[in-house]
Amino acid sequence: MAASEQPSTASVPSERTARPWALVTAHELRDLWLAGRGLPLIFAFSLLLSVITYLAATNQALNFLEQREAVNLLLQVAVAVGALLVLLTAADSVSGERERGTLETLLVTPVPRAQLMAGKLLAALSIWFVALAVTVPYVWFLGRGVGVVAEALILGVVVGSLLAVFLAGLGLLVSVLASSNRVSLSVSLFLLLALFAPTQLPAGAQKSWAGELLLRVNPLTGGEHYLGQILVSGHTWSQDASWLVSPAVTAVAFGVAAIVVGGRSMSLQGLMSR
Amino acid sequence: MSRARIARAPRQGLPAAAAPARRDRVIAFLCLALLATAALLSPSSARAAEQIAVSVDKTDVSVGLGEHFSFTSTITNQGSGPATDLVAHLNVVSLAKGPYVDPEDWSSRRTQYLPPIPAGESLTLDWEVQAVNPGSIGVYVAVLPRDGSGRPITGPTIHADIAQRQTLNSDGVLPLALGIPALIGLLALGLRYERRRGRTAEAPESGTDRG
Repeated sequence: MAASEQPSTASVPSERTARPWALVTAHELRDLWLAGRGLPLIFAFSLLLSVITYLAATNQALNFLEQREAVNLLLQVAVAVGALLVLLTAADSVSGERERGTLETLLVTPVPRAQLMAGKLLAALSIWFVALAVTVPYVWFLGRGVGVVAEALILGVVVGSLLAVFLAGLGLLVSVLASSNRVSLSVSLFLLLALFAPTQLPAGAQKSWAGELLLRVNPLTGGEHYLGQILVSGHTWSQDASWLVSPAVTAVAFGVAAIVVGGRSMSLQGLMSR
Repeated sequence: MSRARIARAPRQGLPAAAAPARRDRVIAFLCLALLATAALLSPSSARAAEQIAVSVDKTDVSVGLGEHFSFTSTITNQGSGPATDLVAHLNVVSLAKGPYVDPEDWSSRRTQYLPPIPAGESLTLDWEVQAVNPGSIGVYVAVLPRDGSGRPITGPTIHADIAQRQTLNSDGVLPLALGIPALIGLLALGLRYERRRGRTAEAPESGTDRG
């Protein structure tokens, strides 16, 4: 929450009755969407989806795919890039305020630290829900006529939201602990790349027991695998539900850790600088 | 040396015509024994593979690009003993020179390890294939011994005629691909303009207050 974004006098009566975390969320949302980089990030996100949709619909080399596969490709990119946006936003939320000199103001407000973190977590998640809303017309365009649109969107909401909560929690924790915003963003991006690394394993290695275990334990690969199994292979939602265990567990664990541990550890200097 | 001499001494006493005939019989016997030993020592799976016949339920397929098709191959043991330790493998090849075909893309399950097939009996195998390249494509199943000996026995070629097709109707993609980023970009620019206008409106007011 930037110092320039303090509540106006007109909004004070309603804010007095609101819960602290809701106030923090409102301020964070205002910072992100009206004054911050929310819209430029979503603009870049929509450009990427436009290019993929255009190529999938017109390019002969890509057009061999079944419509379900085209929808799956688009949804996987949307989930992966949406998760990246959430991580970047969360990684900037505490260390960014620390560098801009607005964290002190925030820390002296009579709001419990856990609620501060909850507000920041919800604000970081908002970028995923806007990204999902932007994805809807593209999914509709690629999936129309084969009855896959509703299923793809519900899958996107379920899998994407679990991954978004996990990465928002991870980004917040890194942001609380990092000594600078640069460190926070670098560590977060490195962790995200490390999480995506198993997708580059050769097919043979992915099919071995160790490879499959790695894919299952990793929430990003588990979630993306689940999407593909339902959208492309036509499996039922329960058939591959075990692949959702890792995204669900990490979402709960990192979401709670960001609020509880992050709230306790939040300080004017990051823990990594101590 | 002296031993050799002693061993040769009795042969000198044989009639001149009987010696070559006996030698021929010995050579013939040795050859037969050698062949029998080779036959006995050669791997049973290699012999089994040679007694195998492979057939398929169709030899012509016409599908569109991206579509799936399936076929069944029948492995028949024509020998007198059971056929064991065999493996069946699916292969895909472009019959026309030019396009590169990667069989991995066509089927995720191209190898099947076969259970023992009793003499005179058959085993059917199902194969699922997705047409990934357009053109004239040959698909065949080869059965070979698992120990790597002998030669593979192949079934008839399935000639797959894969038609090029556009799976997506691209009409209207351009307005969508340009429209959504344009809308978001306009919204971002509008907000930025409003913020700047707000700041410039606040600046003279704060200046008046200070004055």
